[in-house]
Formats: sequence, C-alpha cells, structure tokens
Amino acid sequence: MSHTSGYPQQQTELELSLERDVEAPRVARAAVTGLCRELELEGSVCQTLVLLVSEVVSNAVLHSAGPHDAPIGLSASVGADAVRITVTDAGEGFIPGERDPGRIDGGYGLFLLSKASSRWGVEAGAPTSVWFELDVAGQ
Amino acid sequence: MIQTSHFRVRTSHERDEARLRLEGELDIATAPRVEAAVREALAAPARRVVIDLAPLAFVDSSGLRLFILLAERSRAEGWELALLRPGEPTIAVFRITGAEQNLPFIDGDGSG
Repeated sequence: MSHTSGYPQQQTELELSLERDVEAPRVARAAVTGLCRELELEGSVCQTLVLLVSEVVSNAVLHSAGPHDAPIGLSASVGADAVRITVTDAGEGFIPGERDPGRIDGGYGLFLLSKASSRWGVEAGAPTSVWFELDVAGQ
Repeated sequence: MIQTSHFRVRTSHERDEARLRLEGELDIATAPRVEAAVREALAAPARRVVIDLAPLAFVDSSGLRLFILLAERSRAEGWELALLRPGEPTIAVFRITGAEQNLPFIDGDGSG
C-alpha cells in the first residue's frame, strides 16, 4: 500500500468555534475525524491528530485564563506535506510552558504534543494559540 | 453530573472483586464518571478493582491521569487495581508517555 501520493495538493480548511466546556474535546475530535475521512489520511496519522487535538482543546478548556464563556477556536489547514491544527482561546498570557509530565495534576497534554507531533508552538497573548503539525506525505 | 451518550461504565461484582467495563471515549468529560464508579465499587466493598479498557474507542491524557491517580490511591489505601490492556490505538497515550510500564496493566479477555 502506498501512502506517498494521493494527498490533495490544495489547502483544505476546517474552522470551528467550540463552546468552552468539557464536551469541547469530543466535538473537536469528531470534526478532525471527519476531516481525516474526507482526506483519506492514513489511520495512524489520523489517530495521532485526534489524540493531539483532544489534548490541546482540553488544555484550553481547563487552563485558559480567558473568560469562561469565550469560545475556543479550532482550525485545520492541510497542505501536501502536513496537517496543521490551531487551537485558539481568549486567554491572555496563557503559557503552557514545560510541565513536569510526572506530575499528577497535569502536563501530559503538552508532553504528548512534544512527543507525537512533527512541530508545535504557542503564540501567547490575547488570544493565545497553540498549533501543531503532523507530516503526512512521504515515508 | 453531565450525562454523555458516548461513554458507559458497566460494573459487576464477584466476591471482593469489582469489574468495571469502560465503553466509548474517555476524556475530561467522562473521566470523573470512572472515578465515581471506582469509589462506589470500593464502598461495596471491593478489595480488588479490575478496569477493562479494551472496549474503549478513545483515551487521552485525562484517562492517563486518572489511572495514575487510582494506582497511587490503591497503594495508599491498600486495595488492588488491575487494568485490562486496551488494543491499538487506545494504548498510544500510555505508550507515548512511557506510563505503560508504571501502571498495573494485565492482559486478558475480560473473563478472568
């Protein structure tokens, strides 16, 4: 089975506004799963995308310094080589930072991001964005 | 408590063992329901809690955090915790973080 070709060359966009509550990660996962199907992404890539989007959205729900009624933005752009997902919250100065993954109360989400994504980053401010990319083409 | 349709905990008791079968997606919305079910099982009172992760469709780090917490609690309180290992891809969150070695995973078909 070849995974090296067949990915769309054009950018495909997903734009969603999620209510900031504990259901938001599930809604985000469903949206990304739909995108995966639409793009016929490889199963393992899709599973990693779904896991990481769940982590980043959960972080925004639980730890954003923004108002509780401010929505969380989810966007995905798909290029020939990588899928990029951005999660934006209204928080001001929310810095995920390095957390100790051994801590019981958190930190695993960003630890997973650093382990399983191809690239990731934070644009701190108001709003604050956390983005990650996963390479999809080539072997 | 928030009721979510994408998750279910089925509990069965035999002597001092409680078996919790988790179905659906384990995340920040549903992890508290597992913690509550474990608390109820211990009040039953069970001395050994077996949590079957195999039927789960999804687990993220909120599940990981929960099982680490339960493993610590079992050691502190003197009861036994066992986790029936899930398949791919739900094991991923435990594998990527290296937590798989530190949690009381067992293999089995859920009948043991």
